[in-house]
Amino acid sequence: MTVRIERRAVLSGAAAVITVAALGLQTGKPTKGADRSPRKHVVEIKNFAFVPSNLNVKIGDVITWINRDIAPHTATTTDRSWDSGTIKKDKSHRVAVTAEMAGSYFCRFHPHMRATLEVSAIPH
Amino acid sequence: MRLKAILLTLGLTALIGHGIAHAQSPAELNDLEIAHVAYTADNIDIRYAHLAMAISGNTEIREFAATMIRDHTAVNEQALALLKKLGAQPQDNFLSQTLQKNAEKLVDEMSGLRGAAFDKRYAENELAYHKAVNNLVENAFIPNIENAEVKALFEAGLKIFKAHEGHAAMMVAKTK
Repeated sequence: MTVRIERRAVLSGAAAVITVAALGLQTGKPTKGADRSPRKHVVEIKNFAFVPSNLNVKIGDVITWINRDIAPHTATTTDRSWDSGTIKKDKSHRVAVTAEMAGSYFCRFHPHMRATLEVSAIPH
Repeated sequence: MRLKAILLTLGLTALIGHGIAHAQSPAELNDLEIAHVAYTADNIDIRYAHLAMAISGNTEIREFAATMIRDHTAVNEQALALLKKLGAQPQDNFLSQTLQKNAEKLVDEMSGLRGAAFDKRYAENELAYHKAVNNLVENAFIPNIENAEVKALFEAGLKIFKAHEGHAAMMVAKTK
């Protein structure tokens, strides 16, 4: 039984490391050179809301919007200077952050859905 | 909203005046009949939206109508996929037929309107229609649906239609 638990713990730990590496998630521990590479962020669209609704990013970071709703959505800046296009159920849209994306954005199809991107001017 | 109020809003007054017989009550419909009502209600709203696209020159009304077509089509596609998976066919029933008859009258009425008068009527109807159908789905259908997957689809659909209700309220305020 003990061996089993240890194996499970080892496997679980290994899986966690692989998942974190695969998703490019931040672990809270800075690594050498980490600040130089663009970070990946995920915004889920679910229950007619962007989650998280406020995201701090840097120019060059990559954001992926994933739609978990049945209804199609968009991510569109308020001034409509950039637009993800239609994102259907379980589909995603990935984009590298530019300075023009800073500020509030919304879903063109459902205007009450709003969120904010805080874009740092300092690139990686 | 109580069932009586829901039926009043949907124009189903005949069911109230004579009491709601067992076979004629929304709460007594089986899963496949409920699915038929939902599919019919979706298609009615798509029809209203196509009418708006044909008549209205108001950009916001047209964008709202396009969203109704897009979202209700997406829900119907999910519903048909689920029914196919379950190997089931939706069953026609009194409520689907009554909704359809009422929609015919409303399409006739709205077809005669133009400009701001149409936009106002369309927006008001969208608000009233979504409000009534949402109450029907939330209070009469979801509590009585037996199949877990069908229930989950209705719960997801209700979230969409409540968002539409809020959007329609915005449209009503803008067309006053």
